[in-house]
Amino acid sequence: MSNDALLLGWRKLWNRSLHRFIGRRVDARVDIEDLAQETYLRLLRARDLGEVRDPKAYLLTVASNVVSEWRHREPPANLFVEDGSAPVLEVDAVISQGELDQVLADFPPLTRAVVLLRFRDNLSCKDIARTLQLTDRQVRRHLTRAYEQLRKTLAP
Amino acid sequence: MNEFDPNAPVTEQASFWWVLLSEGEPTVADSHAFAEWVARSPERVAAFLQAAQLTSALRSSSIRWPKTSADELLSAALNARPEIAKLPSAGRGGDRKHPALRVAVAAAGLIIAGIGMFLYTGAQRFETAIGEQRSVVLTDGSLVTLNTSSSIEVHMESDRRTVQLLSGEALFEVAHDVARPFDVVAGGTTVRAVGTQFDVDRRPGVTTVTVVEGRVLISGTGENRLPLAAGEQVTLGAHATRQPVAADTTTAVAWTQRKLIFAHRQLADVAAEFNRYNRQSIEIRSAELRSQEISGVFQANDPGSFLTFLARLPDVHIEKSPDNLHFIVTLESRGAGS
Repeated sequence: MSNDALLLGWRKLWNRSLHRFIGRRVDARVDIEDLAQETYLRLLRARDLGEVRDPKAYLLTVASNVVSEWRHREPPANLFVEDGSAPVLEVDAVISQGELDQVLADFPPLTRAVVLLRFRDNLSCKDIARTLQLTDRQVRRHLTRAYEQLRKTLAP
Repeated sequence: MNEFDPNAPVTEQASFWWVLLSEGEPTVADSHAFAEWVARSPERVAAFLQAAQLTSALRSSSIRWPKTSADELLSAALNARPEIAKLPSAGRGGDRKHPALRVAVAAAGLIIAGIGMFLYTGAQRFETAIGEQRSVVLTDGSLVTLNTSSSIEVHMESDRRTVQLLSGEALFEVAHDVARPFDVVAGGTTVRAVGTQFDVDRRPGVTTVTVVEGRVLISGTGENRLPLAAGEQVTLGAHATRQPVAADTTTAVAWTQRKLIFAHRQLADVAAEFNRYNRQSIEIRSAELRSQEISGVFQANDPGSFLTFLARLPDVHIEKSPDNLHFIVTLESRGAGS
């Protein structure tokens, strides 16, 4: 399916939430779904993602630009920025401490170790793999599983 | 099994991509696959952005993480790993290719270890090959890290714990248990600890003990007990004194990070150290070179860096065996040739 056809389809489907977001005050908290919606539309409009060398960085850059636009009503700084940079998505997000404590307590020891070493002690995945005598792949698998539980800790 | 699962919920698929792209080393094919995946719906973009959001939120300084020390996390995690915890090391290699079998063996190991708590029977033996390092959690919770080409035999009894260091080097982090002293026996030398961390390095004719934390008592045949405190090191052997010296404990346990740290060591010793860790061996033939002293930090599993260093010394000639496993280092006689 061409980008245009996809775009049309999604515009139809997401039109309502798009209007909702446009009608919202600029300083309102960013709704991740609205952000995703707008990011998605821009991705389709701009170019074929498959041609981008680092699609993750590209996607985050686009999303960051969307947020910055909403907040400051400024034009996007550089829609086509891609490789090399490591953009951080600056969207207000709060972790609920109580939920986090619960989720961590429920993790198996190995997953808990991976999560704490990664986010509390800021070790790289490679270092964690070496420390715990796992392969890099196994460490990533623990992180992927952990993410599923940790999503619950994001305050709505 | 970290393969992408097309039947998993969208959030899980998004987590997979997020972790692979932000933590792994994604290939070009991975990037293409991700682009294709994410461009299919805003729902996927949302799940992916949420993972990104989660990561930055988890880095926030306002989060209160559990205070569990890294060491505690580590030993809890290592204990939870059946393939290294409480598993007799016999039969390494062959069963490695069969995960299911390994799990079965691990389970059997756990059962045996469980029975062993009540009825002491045999010993457990752990070994490492050249270049291999590995940590073992003993049934009492003590952690033993074996250096390259080392082997130990563990005897757990109701009134004492004994580890025979048969060859090589090991770092012992002893679980506290007043009722059961922890003895490491290396040849004629016994190192006794109650709850501490120390390194024992057994070489032909010489054993070196370094205490990182706490204190130990050292005894040998017909000698008085020698106390050794944290930060002290003693070398025991036929020609060695029993006089403890102050030691840099970081250097003594640097091998756990696969680092070789040399301060004013002769090239012959440095080459011997590299040979402990690698199947490739380096032989320095010229006496003049052998006694030359160097200082530096090398990666133990990278003898290439040491060879490069040697090659830069004036008049040094390095000859390589046809199978690439043996390097002979000589000084070219000056004035010869022309």
